[in-house]
Amino acid sequence: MMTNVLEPVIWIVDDDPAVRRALGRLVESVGLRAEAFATPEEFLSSGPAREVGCLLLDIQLPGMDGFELHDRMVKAGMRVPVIFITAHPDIHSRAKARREDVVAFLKKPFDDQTLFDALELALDRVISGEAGLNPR
Amino acid sequence: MRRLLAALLILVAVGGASLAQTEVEELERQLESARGAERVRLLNRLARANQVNSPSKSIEHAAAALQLAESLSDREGQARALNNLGIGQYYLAEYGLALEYYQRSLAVADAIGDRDRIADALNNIGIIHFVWGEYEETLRHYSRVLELRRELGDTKGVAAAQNNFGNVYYATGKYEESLEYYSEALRLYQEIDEPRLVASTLNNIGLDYHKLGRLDEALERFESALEIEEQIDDKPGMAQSLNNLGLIYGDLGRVDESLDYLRRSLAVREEIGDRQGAAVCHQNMGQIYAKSEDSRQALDHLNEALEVARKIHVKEIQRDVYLILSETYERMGDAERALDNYRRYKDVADELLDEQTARQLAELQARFELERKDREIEVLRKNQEIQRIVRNVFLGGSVLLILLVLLFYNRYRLKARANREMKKANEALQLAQAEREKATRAELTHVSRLVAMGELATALAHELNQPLTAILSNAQATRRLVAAPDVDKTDVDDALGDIVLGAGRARDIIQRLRELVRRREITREPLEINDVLRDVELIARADAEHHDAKLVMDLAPDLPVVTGDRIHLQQVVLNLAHNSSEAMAGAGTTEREITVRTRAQSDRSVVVEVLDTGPGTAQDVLTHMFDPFFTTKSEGMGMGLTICSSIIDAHGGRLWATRNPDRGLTVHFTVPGGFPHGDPK
Repeated sequence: MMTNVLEPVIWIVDDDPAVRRALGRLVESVGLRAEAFATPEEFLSSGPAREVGCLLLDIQLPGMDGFELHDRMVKAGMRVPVIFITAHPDIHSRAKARREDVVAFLKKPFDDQTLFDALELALDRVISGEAGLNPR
Repeated sequence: MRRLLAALLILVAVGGASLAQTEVEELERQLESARGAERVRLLNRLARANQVNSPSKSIEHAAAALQLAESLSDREGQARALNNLGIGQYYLAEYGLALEYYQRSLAVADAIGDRDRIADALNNIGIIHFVWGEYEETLRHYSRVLELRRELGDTKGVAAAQNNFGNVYYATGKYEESLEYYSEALRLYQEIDEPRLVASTLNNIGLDYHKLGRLDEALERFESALEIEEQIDDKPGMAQSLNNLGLIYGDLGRVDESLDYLRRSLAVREEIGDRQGAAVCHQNMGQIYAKSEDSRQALDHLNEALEVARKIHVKEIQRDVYLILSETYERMGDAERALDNYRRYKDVADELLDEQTARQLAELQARFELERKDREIEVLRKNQEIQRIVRNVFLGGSVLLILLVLLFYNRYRLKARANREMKKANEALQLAQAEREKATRAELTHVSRLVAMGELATALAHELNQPLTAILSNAQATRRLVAAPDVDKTDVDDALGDIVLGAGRARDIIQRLRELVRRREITREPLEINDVLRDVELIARADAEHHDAKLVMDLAPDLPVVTGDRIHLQQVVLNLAHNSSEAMAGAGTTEREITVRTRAQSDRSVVVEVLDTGPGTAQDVLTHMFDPFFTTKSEGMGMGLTICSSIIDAHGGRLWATRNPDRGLTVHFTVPGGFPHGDPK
């Protein structure tokens, strides 16, 4: 059943250092692996394609926003489950987040259980191979 | 706002330095034996020394200096004495008289080519125009002063000019620009080591920060100014700084400290006999007491302010105090006295306006007379010329024909000239109109800044979600960390440290929000709603056209006068029109039209309606559209309409929306008419 033997990683992309640290800490507190990035560029250049995992992705980011990052990944054939997080929820961005690979849309601040439920959903997809990383 | 301005205004009249008492005594001693030009010089210096603290004494000395200088044909002494007389009258708030003296001083200085005195006179004339709110004129004079002072290499003069420029920008609400000029003045004063002027400029900088809402920075500047002034025993400066500190603490809601500073300022002003300043202190204390709802104390101080202002004939203070009195009585539920004081306020305000108009008319007439004389001279010269030619022609014959030709030619020339003049007048008129439009536009920028403030408030509120996320996640992670069998204390400590940081950040955001809200006080004045709307027509039209929409103004004539805050009401209308534009553009409506309509209601209130031809909206949106954070826009924050609604609420009116029968939406609001009523909140 398991097609992937790599330990999945939770990529956190958020430009707010305090939020980044806190989410990293929370994810690690349940024994998951977390890697945090301040910008989409930083994330992309870290070579995520070599690993499996899911994205905890902030929508409002300076420069390229969360949607653009996701578009770019889809174009590059990198299919990863995404959990969008935002401090500025509105009708429009919620609609825009209705796309393939997006497993949840969380309004900041969110409860730990809400996050873990979303992560479980996302990791299920990674492990069952519904979505995975396809280099190039 | 205007009230505060009057209370805070600081002017630097050139050379108004106050000498220490010992120096004054020394000058008086020297005067006993001095004769001739030396005596003129000493009298002028004594006039200077007494300017601020004792204007009437200053005038006495200056008058003596003038008389002696005239008998000695000491032109420089004369120019100085005339200037000093002007400054004396200025400190007595006799601005018309002051202007006359300055102009005479300018004429004398001009005649002897004394550029320092010319610059002094021009500067002081500029100040008078400033006091009268004639800022174009003011800037014209200050520019010439700055040029002259630079030519003369007079650093102190350059600094004073920069400071005065700062005053104009302050008075016209351009605080960032004002800050630049003040900072340059400050640098120069520090360079030439002028502690009194350094302090006074620090005070001005503080006022800018105050207006920009940067209260901490303002406080710091006022405190530094006060420190310097105490060191050099500059009493008028101390009084000013203490007064400003009082007002800042008042704004911060720290009533006790505020009153303490104002009381200290009052004591200094009474000590040096600055009655106008004392009146301002009483006014400010009255206002602080009124705000903290101690009506008895408020009335005591306001009446005291009024009495002093009446004695020294300063109508601006009387006007402002009447208005505060009216509001105070209103709060006490004494409608009769409130109305009475409101009427007095209106009377004084009208008188001041009449005086201003009369002054402007007199100036226009003087200018016209001058031009007419020029024209008459010209006509006379022409007639003589014709007569001369006619005489010559007589000698040569063909009289009639040539005479006729000349007459017609002359008439043609006069007509062409009249046309030219008409054109010139037209151009001047257009220029004036352009200036007015520019001023309106500047005001509009201010209004759109207010519109942006609603969005700022929303952004700040959302911003709170960031630290909350950090706090919540950290707390929940910590709970897990401590539950683990091998608790890592450093991990726990790090997480707790981050929680504390997050809470601090949240507190800062709330503080900023609170400041934003506090600065949104609503003033009440009688308004012609149509005028208020016409003033923003330009920007609303520009904004509509930007969205390919047409703006129609449908204003009913003879509406009752309403009570409210001009800027805030304009903010509401601009916001509504802007929403309509965006809604129509967003839905791709083909015929985009916004109508701003006014009509009277039977209860003397006025309804303003903003109609559009857009997509309209669903019933459930209609009921929620005024809720905070409700938005249908992708970029919107959902605070614009909430703020509009709270503004109209504060006016005692109502804001609601309806769907148009054919298409689009109408947003309506009412503004109550008549005499201002108590705050409904």
